[in-house]
Amino acid sequence: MSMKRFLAVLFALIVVSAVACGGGEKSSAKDDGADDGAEPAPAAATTAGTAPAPAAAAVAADAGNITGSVKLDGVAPKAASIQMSADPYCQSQHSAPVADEDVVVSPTGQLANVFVYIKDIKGTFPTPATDALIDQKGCQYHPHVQGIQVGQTLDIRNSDATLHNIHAMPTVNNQFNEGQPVQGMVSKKHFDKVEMTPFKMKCDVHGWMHSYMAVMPHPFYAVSAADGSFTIPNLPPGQYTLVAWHEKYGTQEQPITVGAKESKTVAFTFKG
Amino acid sequence: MAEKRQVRVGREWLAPRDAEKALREAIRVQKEQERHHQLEHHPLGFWRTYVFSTDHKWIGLQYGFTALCFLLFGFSLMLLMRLQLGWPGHAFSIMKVLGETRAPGGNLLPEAYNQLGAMHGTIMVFLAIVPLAVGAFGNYLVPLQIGAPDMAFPKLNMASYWCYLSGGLVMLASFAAPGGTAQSGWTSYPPLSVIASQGQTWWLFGMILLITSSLLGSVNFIVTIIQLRTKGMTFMRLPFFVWAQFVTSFLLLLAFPPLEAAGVLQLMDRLAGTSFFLPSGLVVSGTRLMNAGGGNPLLWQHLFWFLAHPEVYVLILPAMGIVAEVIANNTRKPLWGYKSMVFATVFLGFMSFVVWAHHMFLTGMGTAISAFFQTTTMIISIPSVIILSSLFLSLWGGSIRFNTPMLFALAFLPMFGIGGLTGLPLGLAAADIHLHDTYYVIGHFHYVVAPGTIFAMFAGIYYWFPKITGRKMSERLGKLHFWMSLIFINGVFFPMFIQGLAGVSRRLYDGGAQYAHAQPVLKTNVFMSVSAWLLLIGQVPFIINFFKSIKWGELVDSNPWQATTLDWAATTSPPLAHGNFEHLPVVRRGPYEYSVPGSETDFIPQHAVTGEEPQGGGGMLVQSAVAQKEA
Amino acid sequence: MESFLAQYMPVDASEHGPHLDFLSALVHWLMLILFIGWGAYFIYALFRFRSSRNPRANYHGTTSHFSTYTEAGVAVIEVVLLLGFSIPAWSKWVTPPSSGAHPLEVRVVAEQFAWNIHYPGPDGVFGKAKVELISTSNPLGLDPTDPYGKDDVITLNQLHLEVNRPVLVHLSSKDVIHDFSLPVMRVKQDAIPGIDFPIHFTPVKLSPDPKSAARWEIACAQLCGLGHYRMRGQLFVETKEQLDAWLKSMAPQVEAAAAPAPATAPVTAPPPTVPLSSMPKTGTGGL
Repeated sequence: MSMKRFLAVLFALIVVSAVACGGGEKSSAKDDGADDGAEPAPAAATTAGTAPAPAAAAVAADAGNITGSVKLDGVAPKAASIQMSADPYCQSQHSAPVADEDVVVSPTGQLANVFVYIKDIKGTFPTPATDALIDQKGCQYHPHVQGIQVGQTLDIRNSDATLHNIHAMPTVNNQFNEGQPVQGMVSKKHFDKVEMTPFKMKCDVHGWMHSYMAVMPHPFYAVSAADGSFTIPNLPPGQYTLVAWHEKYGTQEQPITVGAKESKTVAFTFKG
Repeated sequence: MAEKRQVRVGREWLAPRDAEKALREAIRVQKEQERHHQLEHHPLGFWRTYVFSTDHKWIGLQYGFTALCFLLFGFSLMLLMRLQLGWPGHAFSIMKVLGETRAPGGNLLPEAYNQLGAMHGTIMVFLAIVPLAVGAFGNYLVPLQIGAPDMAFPKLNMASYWCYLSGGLVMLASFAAPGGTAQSGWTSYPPLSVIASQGQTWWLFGMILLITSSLLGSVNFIVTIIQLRTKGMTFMRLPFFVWAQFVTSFLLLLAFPPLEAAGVLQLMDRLAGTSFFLPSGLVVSGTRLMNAGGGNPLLWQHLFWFLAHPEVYVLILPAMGIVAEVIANNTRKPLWGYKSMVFATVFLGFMSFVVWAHHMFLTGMGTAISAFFQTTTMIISIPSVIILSSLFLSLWGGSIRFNTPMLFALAFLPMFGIGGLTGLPLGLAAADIHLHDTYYVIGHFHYVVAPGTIFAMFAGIYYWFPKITGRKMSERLGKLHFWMSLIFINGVFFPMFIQGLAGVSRRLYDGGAQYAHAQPVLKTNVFMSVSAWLLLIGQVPFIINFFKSIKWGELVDSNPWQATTLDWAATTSPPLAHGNFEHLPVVRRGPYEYSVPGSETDFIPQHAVTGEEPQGGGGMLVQSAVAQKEA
Repeated sequence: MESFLAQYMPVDASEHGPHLDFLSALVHWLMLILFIGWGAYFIYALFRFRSSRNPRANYHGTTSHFSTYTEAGVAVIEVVLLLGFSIPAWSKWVTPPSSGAHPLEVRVVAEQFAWNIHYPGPDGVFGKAKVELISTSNPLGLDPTDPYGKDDVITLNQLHLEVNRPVLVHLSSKDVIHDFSLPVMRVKQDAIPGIDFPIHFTPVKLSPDPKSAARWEIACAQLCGLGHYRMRGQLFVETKEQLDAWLKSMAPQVEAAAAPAPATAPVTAPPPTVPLSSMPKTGTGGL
């Protein structure tokens, strides 16, 4: 009788701890393919122009905006081509050699993939209901650089029929490293803390694959497009510091004052 | 020469120092008996009897139940792995029990596969087999077989169990750690394990508790076997099982401390920023590890295998002990070559400390050191062959009863044989080059441990169940369990040798599906996985039998197998916390006096009085003290 | 037995491979004979001495010394296997080829989860590498100021070798322990961070079409993390002409611009750093 009681206690302990294993992280990776179509198309680095539109409710009547362009002054390094042959699958996804995305610059010197954001705006801004997306396709990240708001859901999708692992290396937020062995797999992640300087996300399987992501407390950021242009819309009037960040050329700042309904134009120039 | 004064104690003349010792001992024994006397009148409460028990039999049962639960748990981890290996890329709804972080939508992730692998190994070795073989069988049987009232240090014994249970719970809890549990293999090679997620830290804490538990247990066994043998129980009259436990205890005592040290060092590397195992210039995922420098990852491997190779013999020796008991009993004749088996076991124990680096042939060994470890590895195969041969030859001339424990014990012989033989190509460094870290290795050590040791454990459970409960387990269900286990376990492990020859690496998440050289043998994965699940079904009769027989099994007397050793001299289901024997038995002969020519019965228990004079002396001061007191 | 095992084993395409396979076959013969011998005895004994046929056991059992002879026999065979085969084969395996053999030197640097393959280029000298220079675009941390590095060829997961020419691989790792395994070459060696270990072998067969099912690969044999299972490289064994052509096609693009530079560092000049091939070999497990 008492032997049974002991057994029962023991089983209960083991079951409890086994159940405890089930809990854990809150990130869920439910594949919700239907939603993807409704989102803005995955902004490839070369076409990204504007930041995702902030929630409409937040737009003030007297909001202005910032448009601008980023140039590279000097000789652009010749982009190395990626050795896709390392993984026969990746190679099969591209008919021509693929260039490294470290520095994407137009022949006339416009610099793409620069993350531009307002550093010092006060107030709280709603978390967008739409998910941000980072897609692993053809063994490259799309987009190469992007911002996401605190608490916003990030969909990490593997569109390739090969293993990718998404290794996020933030300094303020929690690091994670997850494998996605199956094509079409989507993991959903959140970042809880502000981290405005973009951090690296990389794939250890394909060493050349890396991208950058910033976690913003507000929606006032943009990534420069292939022609170096960017737009930060719906910005409440005020005095701000505008920051431009490039993975290779570092950070630049300039003060900026935006009046009511004003369209301000700025320019950044990085030294090559 | 100084004149020696002697004083008379009882009927004997002793040197004063010996006399004083004997008197002290007599007083201690008297107090002990008074205490026992009191205890009889004031039974311990529920907690002291069934939870925080200091009785070796109850602790043995606690070990046994816990270890069997872990055995099932470790087995179920393997079943999930086999699902993944049989059908990689396929989503299984059962995988969802692992949670969304490990198996989103039932698709097992590679890091989760590594978690399952690491924990399957850890749980099976440290939480299931060793506690079952040593903690459960050793604890329950050793004091009974040597005629002792309990273990030498009952409280230490209790502490050992609770350390083990805490270690086990820490291991289980580690599944809930952020990033999951340990995922660097049961071997936890740094630097991989040092840069792994938090679960590894839990694993290390768990290991430290488990090692502590084993150390406490081993000290206790050694002292018990040396000091508490009853009168007449000379070393050469010990049942072979006790010898096996004795040598095992020395292995645990001497081999575990290096791993405990290594575990602490790795913990420091992870938590305190040291770099015992991290060489200079590590670049992980494109980032330079700044605290790395000056360490050596191979240091861990040496310390780890210095434990883990003797650990193999910790797994196998008690199993051989159980098989020897069951075979002697069911052939109705003495073990053939008992003495050579004992010497072989002791020699095996010594040798097991100098073979560890054969796990590391491919870490860059020169000719001289590899020659040394190859030679010791070949040498250690000889005592194993001697023990196995003796067990085989014990069958000759026997009158073999094929009951369930005997079937499992008999199956152990060829199964362990396969495990041992397949060790040969791995032990020869040149042949090892191709087979190292392939499924051949997995097949090899699983043959040793699964159809080897685990079968012996089953034999032991069926054999001693009547001792513990007073009831026999069902033979019909037992035989069903045996045949299903035997067939399916070979279905699981034999194809591994074929995969190994093909060069398929171990620990692959997709079972080798990526690799061209694995394609010809890939289909065996499905066969192995199906066998594994059938093996689970094969365990159902055992589980039913086990619980059913506790309540409704056939009632038997105290010596249902007509065995000779002292464990069967105690009354059925020895009362808890009241000592084991009403009067400590006096041993008069060797452990396996079956079918003695001229004897009426075909067995003569070790303590039976048959008119012959008892020979030889016991090793026990308590006995002489008691005798003197009586005088 | 050799052919029996061979039907399960991959192609054996290296010079030393057949020796290892022969040893393996011998050991498997020994295993088979022992297993069948003991098995036959076992089955006979179970049948002959079952209790219904032999109700009373014989106290003494067998008095034959047969087992002693088998044990001695096994010991003798093991000595032969050790001294006659395994130790000499191992000694050959760890002794590097003489420099007169003009081995093809390659550095293989493992990382999670890829093989970086580094050829010294036409000058035959590896460029200097520094840990602090490692980046995504410079996975080995080659020093751009080192003239010897300018012509170096670095590929990812692509190992091209020349048939019938000895290969000397300098194996190391950037992060964790990997294991460089070439099943068709019977080559396997742990790649351990902090240790630069030389391994050598001679491929004797040309590799098949890389798209065929029989393609040759580099496998990782030591658990190295979540991508361990697919840390796969491709292995090509080609003629000298094919290898040279491939190396040329892979030569760094900057070579054209930097072409005049090698004049300052002629091929014949003594290298400023000690070439890896002349470094002392790590002997005993790297300790």
